[in-house]
Amino acid sequence: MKFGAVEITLYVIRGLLLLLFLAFGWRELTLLLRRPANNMGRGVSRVWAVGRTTFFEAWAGRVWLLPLMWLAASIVMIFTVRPFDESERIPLYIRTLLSGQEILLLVMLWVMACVSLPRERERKTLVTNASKPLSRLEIVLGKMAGFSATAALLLLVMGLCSAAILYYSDYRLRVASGEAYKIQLEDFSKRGGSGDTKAGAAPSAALKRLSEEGSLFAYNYITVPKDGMSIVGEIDLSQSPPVRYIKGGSAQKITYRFAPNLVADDITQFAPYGSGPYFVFSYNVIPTQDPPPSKVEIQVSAVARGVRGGAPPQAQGRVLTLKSGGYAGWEPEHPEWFLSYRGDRSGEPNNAGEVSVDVQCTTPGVLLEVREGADPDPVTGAVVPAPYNVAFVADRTKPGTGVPHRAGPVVHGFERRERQEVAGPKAGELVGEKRAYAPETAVFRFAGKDLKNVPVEKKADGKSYFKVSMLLDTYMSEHPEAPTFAMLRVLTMDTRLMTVDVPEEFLGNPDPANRGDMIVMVSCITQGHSVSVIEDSVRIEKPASRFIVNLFKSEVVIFLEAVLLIAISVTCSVRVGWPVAMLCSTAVFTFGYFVEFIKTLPNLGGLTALNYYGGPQTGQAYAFFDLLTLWLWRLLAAIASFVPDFTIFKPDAFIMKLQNMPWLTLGSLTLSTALFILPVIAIAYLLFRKQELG
Amino acid sequence: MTTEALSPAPDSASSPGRNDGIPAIETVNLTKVYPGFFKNQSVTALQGLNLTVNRGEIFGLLGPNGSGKTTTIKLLLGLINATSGSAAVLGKAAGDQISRRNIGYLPEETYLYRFLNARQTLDFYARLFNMNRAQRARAIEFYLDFVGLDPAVRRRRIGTYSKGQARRVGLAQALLNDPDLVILDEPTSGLDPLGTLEMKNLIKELKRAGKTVLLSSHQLADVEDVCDRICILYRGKLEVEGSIDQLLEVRDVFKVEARNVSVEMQNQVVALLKGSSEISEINPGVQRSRLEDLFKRMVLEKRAAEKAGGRAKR
Repeated sequence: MKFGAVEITLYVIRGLLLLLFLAFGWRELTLLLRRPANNMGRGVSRVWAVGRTTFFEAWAGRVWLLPLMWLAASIVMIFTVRPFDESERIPLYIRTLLSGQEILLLVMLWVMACVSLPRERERKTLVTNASKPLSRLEIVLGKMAGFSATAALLLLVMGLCSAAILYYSDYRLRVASGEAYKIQLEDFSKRGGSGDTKAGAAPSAALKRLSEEGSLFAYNYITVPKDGMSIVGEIDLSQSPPVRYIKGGSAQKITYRFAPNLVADDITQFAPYGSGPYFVFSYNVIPTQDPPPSKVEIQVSAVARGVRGGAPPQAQGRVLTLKSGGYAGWEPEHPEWFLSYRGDRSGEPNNAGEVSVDVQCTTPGVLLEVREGADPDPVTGAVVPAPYNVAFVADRTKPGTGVPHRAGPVVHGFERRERQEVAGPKAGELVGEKRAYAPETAVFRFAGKDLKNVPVEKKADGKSYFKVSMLLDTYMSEHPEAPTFAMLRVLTMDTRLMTVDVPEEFLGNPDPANRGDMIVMVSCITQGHSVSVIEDSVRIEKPASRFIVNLFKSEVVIFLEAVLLIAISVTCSVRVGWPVAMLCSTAVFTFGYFVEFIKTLPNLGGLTALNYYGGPQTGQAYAFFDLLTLWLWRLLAAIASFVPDFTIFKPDAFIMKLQNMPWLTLGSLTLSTALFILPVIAIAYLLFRKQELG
Repeated sequence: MTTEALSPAPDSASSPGRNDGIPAIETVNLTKVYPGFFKNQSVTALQGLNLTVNRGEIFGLLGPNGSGKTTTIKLLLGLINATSGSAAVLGKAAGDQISRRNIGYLPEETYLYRFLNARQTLDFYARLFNMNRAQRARAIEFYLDFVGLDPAVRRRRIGTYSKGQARRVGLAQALLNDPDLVILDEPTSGLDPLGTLEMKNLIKELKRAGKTVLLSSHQLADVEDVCDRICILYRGKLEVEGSIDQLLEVRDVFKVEARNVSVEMQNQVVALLKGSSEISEINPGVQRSRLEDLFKRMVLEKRAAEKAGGRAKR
């Protein structure tokens, strides 16, 4: 975990709040667990007494209508929204049921928690309560506990209803799938049971599996870490290290990054076209068809992001023909769009932002070798010699001053619906023994530390195996009648979810504590077909858990979110009226919900974040408001860093994928919620402890 | 309200130091200023109040509207914070959470949850005093009977109660913990004449049970009937304090009370007194002014003095 100045400040503020809480409230805190006299029990029992009354208050406020409203809305949604296919029906129901619970519960409890204390002040019931041996802390905690208990009861009711709906839907789905499979089987038998595609398709194994097993699962997987999946293009594994290629005529693209502030000399700003800065491209071209194409073209484009005060990010590009030896040069027509010029007076670069260059090969039948490049020396900043594809030359009058791209160019495949695709070979391409490299490949890199508890199973051959399952979608632009084949094993894509038994030795070191990373590569080798993948498409399987327990965990996530919102709402209402309390808690929730976006605002610049650009000739007024807006974004980002992060609550993140939520995840979420709630309680106490009642 | 002897509530013996000589209430220079947005908008509600209420007495807190009675009570309960000075209740600083377990408070209006019924209300308050289920059930029924709440309405929400019914539940919650100190702010407000009489009897019953009662009321006749000592506040200042008898005594009048005095003896006493030229009026029998008169006189005198002071300033 990286601790920046903002994070450290936040932890210091939170720590100070807790210290103040302890300093002023130690007596009330000890009374929570201490019994000072016979006719005065522990504080926790008084907290529960207040909580119980708060529960009655919520009940009197018709909170029991909520499950009925939710049930009605969910049933309407379930009957009106149609899934893309039957395998998505149950996940769709799960999302509908959980989202409905989350929204309705949060809205209702937010309103009640904001209104409760102000109403008690207004009706002066707080005066009577405060004359009893009840501390301010106990009143606040009681309110939070009461509404939390309300949330728990409502979630219990709605959770049980959800389970009933899902199990009934699953039962109906199994019956329908069983009948469909039976019909297919009868048809198939009537045709003589031939596997010949002309005679008709064989009965669907997916239907059979659905009818036998249903679709209420809670799979346990080991998946790759974040950013552990990448498309590497074509890859030659015979070389060490393996070499990547992009395929000509495909959607594959390489993105090269250059250092921020790609600084040019002032003279280049005014250099006539033909004598200005330029990029040099250098590729090793490998033909994949016979005869090879007569010329190879590449499409290049450059863009700078995060330019302040200037033009919005605009890409400029051109199609280039590679000369003999795989070289090409390109002088952008608008170098001022991405170059950083030194100021006339200060001599400092004007911060043009990070520059990236995209390259795509438009000529079919060739592969372009991707060279990895290297980052500059972190101490001296000097260029480290390494093979590269693209270099930038700021001043062509000074030979040898080119700046190569940074290490690790990123290869992108075709992207569709937030998934990436790996495509099989095209017609006419050399396949099999004539090419030493694998087709377009997706790489899944499992972290060695995650491979400690991989369950293995002994098979009939006496060897141990572990299971790798894949959830892949297929697209067929050609040969739709053919099955899609993937590397490693020949697998029909009929069931989409495939399981492969992999020998245990692929886990690496027999000692689980010393295992290194494991890489799984997925390629499509069927001509005209492609498979789409996301980060968790390839998983190592562990024994499944019970679905009902997984549903319970999702309900707990909603509960934790509700408890946090209740704590914030009660805290907002301890000193002010309910309209202001609602406004404050809404602001906190909004900041917490859009925290990622708000934190990125300062990176987008001041006025440029509002899509307002001053152009090349920016005046002082623009500079002033640009700076003012930038500081506003920074202030908002600081506030967003301080408020609780609501994006951590994703009740359907696991269950939607029929994946079991690990207890560790739930535990860490509970801990995070507690860590957010503690400072909130501290604030509530500090605001309320000396407030005058009556 | 019944006037049966107060039954000891659960754990009634757990109130330490009932007769340890420490006053039930003691304030020293207690001052409360409600700040305004601007300095000239601040209001002094209580100014240097020095007051002592002894254990076991019924003390009346009197004064016109805005004199600081309710402010004093709120300060004693810790509902508001003193600007300066100090107050001790049952030997602890005012507002102390632990000492509040031995205090019962009936606010001037009935501030109870409208969505709860009488039993649920008392159950809530009983839980704050660590009563178990059986104790709660016993205490709730006892005090609801004690304050005379009609059994037919006990399961109805308090929001549907008449003012008098709600007042009775309010009184029950104040007595539920068998407190050493009972603070009653306008206890007869909203009660019918019979209820008022019952309330007065109840207050006397509390005194018999050894409780200390701090009473704030505008019903001067009621205060006169039940209080041992009173004080009168005016504009936040203590103007008069003392026992009822002391304060209402007419000093230039001599009074002898005796039983079984024959007519002849009475005539002899009157004749003896008539023999003195200094005695202007002889009026055998009880001579006493009314508390109401005292109260009105004091307030009117103060107002007149203020007016005179104001004119002098101008």
